[in-house]
Amino acid sequence: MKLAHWGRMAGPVGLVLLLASALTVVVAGDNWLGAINVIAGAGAVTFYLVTNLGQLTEQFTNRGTFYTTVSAVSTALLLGAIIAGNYLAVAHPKTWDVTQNKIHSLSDDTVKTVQGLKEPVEVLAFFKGGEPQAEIWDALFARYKALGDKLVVRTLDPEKEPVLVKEVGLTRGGPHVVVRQGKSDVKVATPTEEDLTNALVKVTHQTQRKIYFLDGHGEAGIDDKTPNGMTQLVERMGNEGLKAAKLPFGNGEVPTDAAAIVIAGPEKPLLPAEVAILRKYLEEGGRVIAMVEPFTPTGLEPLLKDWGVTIDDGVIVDQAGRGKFDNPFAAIGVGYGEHAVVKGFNLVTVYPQAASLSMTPAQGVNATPLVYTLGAMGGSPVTWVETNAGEHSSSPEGKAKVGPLNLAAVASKAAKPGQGQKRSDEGRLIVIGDHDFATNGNFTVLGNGDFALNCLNYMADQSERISIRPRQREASRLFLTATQMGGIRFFATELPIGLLAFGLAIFFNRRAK
Amino acid sequence: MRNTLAIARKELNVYFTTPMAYAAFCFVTVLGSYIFIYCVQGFSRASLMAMQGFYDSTRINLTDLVLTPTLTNLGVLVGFVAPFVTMRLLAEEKRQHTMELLMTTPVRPTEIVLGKFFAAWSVVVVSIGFTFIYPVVLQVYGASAGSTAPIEWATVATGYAGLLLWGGAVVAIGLFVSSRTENQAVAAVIGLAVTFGLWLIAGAASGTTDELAKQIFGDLGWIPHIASMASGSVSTKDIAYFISLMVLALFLTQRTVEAQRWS
Repeated sequence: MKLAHWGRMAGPVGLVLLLASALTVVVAGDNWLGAINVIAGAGAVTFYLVTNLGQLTEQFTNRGTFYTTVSAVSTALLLGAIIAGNYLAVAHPKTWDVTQNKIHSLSDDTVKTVQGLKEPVEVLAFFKGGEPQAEIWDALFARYKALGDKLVVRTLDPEKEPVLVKEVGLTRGGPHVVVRQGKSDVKVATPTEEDLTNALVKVTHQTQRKIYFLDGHGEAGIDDKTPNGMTQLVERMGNEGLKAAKLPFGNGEVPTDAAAIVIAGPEKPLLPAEVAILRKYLEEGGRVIAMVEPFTPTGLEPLLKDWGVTIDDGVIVDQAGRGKFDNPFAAIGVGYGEHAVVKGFNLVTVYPQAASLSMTPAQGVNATPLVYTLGAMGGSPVTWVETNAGEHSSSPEGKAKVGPLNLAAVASKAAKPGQGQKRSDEGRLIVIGDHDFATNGNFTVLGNGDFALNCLNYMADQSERISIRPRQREASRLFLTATQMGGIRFFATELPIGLLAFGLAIFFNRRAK
Repeated sequence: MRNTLAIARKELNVYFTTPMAYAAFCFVTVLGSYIFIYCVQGFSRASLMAMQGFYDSTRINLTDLVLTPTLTNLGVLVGFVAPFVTMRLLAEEKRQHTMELLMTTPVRPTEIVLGKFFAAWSVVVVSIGFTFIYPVVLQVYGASAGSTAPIEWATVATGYAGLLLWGGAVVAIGLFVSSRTENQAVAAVIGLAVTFGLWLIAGAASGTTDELAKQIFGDLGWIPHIASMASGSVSTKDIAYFISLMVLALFLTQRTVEAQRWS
């Protein structure tokens, strides 16, 4: 075979080697092999040029040359424009989420967290090339990075970064992703929006806000894992940068690090001295969440009245609760007041047995209803207050108070400068007519958990993170009978056969003509 | 425009009077139905298990678990069928030397390319159109099972939009490949190689830790774009990707056909 023929075979091989060298370096990570590809490819192309010089010269000097040059230049220009357009589309993407519940959009929680970052936060993802988890994480990181430039993501090969692996304390089988800022770092186990956002919250809040839970009067326990305890609430508080602790009233003072106090359904009344401590704490700008129960005096009644909230005698009867939960006393919170605690909140909340609250004027206090029940349906009241303990009438006839009924209220008052320490500029009190909604047995029911966390975040001055947790599509069902399934299969078989038969019929008919 | 439509009409006549179009319809509907039925059976089982408390009932949704995977897999079928639909478009003209005749007519190369493109794209669109029965079936049977809104139609719309855009892109690629050879079989094979190459290239993204390479290779693959649109999320980069492929391939085809005049 002539050299020119060998050259014409070597030319395309050389081009392929040159193109493959980029893949070899990037994907295989082998620079030596890439270099060999480049040298071999360049050599093959040179061999082609040298052995076919005469023919190439003839080609380039004929009339097609002008056209070929114009084509090459215009193709290059178009390619450049396409690359530029795609770069802009990738660098500044605009996305439309057409799903009903906006499942592809990051939650308000995440948006506020990422956009609220004041200093850069580094995310280190340790994955070897080809790990399937890496793709899932990359998709999540891309959505976060689109929100702002304070989040810096680095993907690292753990085998090539042993020093860094040791520094962040990675272990085989443990989490692969670490979020860090300064000296603080948090590991993230699962590629979910909730875990990543919570890690960002934790790492940027180096000092956790402390929420004290009153103890010693039969309140729900923060370390009680039974359905009556509040361990789930405490766990979720940790994700929000809030730490729970029991409140010792021994020395008569509320600890200075208390961001708020929670009184979770006391079964026995507080002592007057304890109420006095709470009153003083509120006057100094402290924050208290009082979760009360119907027919259960707490000793807090005078204090609450001075803050514009009165607990009505009796228990709420809610026809909606009777119908949906088979419990006539399950009060359903369907409406929310105009307040930062429930801004944008549109989930239903359920209170297994709740007292109704009334707003009473109090000097210097700004009190607002937070949650209320349905009032009436078809002209008839569906909620009312039952004052006889143990009874649950099926009609509101004769009842002194009918719906809509307040289930929760919030009150605030400017802190009084006095001899005590000033906790904050504004004392805040949230009163909720039930505590069971926040216990383990009911925490995950509808919007209960979110409402409880919103209250705590508001009290701890973390209002910027009050929002709705991650979304998913509405559930749907499909129950197919054997006949229905058979029908689908029949149609699925007959349609393509019918189309093919139709096509063949037309074809043979035309051939016959 | 008149010439473009005339050429498109002529090609469509050839498609619909030969088994070619019907074979494409048959292929897409047979395999599409198989995939759809497989997903439906799985979902039906999951519904039953959810009712019995073995499965988290809040997490099962017809759009997510049946339609989105079906539409994504239809993209694979479209990528497979389009090279066969387009293989004869220009290769046949060159083999039978009718290209020279076409060049002497007062029809511009752009009109020839666009006319053939629209004809082939129409065949692919009709193939995809037959599968629209799937969401309709789910809507009817899902509603009878008590779901208030069994199907998210907006997601279905974006999924089909993605399929149409991908169909256009892969038809344009097939047309370009057909313009480069006289052999239909070669045109089909190379067209398939390009389609599957663009599928596999996204795998290179997961094989590297270099952020820039990961981004480039990841966005070059078509599956993530189709999957994203089939799940109800449309991004400008998805639309830019498909339109870029279409424009580039059609431009190169036009240049190739134009070169016939010069050679």
